[in-house]
Amino acid sequence: MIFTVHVLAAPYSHQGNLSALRFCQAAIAAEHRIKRVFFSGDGVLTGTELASPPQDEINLYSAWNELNESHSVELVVCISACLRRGIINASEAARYEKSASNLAPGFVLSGLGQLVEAGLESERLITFGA
Amino acid sequence: MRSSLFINTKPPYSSQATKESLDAALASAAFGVDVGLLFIGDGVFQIKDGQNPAPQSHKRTGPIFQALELYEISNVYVCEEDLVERGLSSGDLMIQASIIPRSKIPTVLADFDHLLTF
Repeated sequence: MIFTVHVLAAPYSHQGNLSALRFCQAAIAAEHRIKRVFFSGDGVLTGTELASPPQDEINLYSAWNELNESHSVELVVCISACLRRGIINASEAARYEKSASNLAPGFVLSGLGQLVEAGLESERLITFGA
Repeated sequence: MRSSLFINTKPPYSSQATKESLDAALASAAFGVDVGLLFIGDGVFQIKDGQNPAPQSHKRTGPIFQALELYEISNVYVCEEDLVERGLSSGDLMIQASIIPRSKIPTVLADFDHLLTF
């Protein structure tokens, strides 16, 4: 089955973020396909490259990036939610004249159309809320 | 045509949930998706008439709700019990909505291909 996963929960603040990760891992292990993971609301905080959680805890950031690196799962963060929360890539940093960018390499900054389009091309769209 | 139901559960102004749900609903409508809105729990406050947020701190979402018809979004459902529990009735709402008893919500959910909860 083809799934699109929609994540609204911030990492470490709400169970929804970890549950979404576990869902994706389980779906891939069962040979389903994750068409795209779309992060919006506080969920976009998953895309920061700057977080360094303690080593004896799960690293949600690297776990999501690993999903992209090992299984080519598209990780898309909502651009308007990102701009509100200070998650930006190099081109947005240039556009808004910021001195740094912080979007992790496995993530892509894009618009809500990416959520709608992925939903249209999937059999199931699952939201992990906050 | 696919259909998506946006389920709104959070009150306005305490988070970005109202705005983000509306953004996603309008983007879906622009893609030709058949969009419905359902308001449950404290989400019913999102469409209460007579809101007057301070413009310095909050975006006014009322005008966006009132423009939904321009996007051909007319399937709006509100849970009757959740309205009554909060001292509200259909006359307190800023948009036309179907007031449905809680027991009918599963029927509405079953009518849509995708459910998005905010």
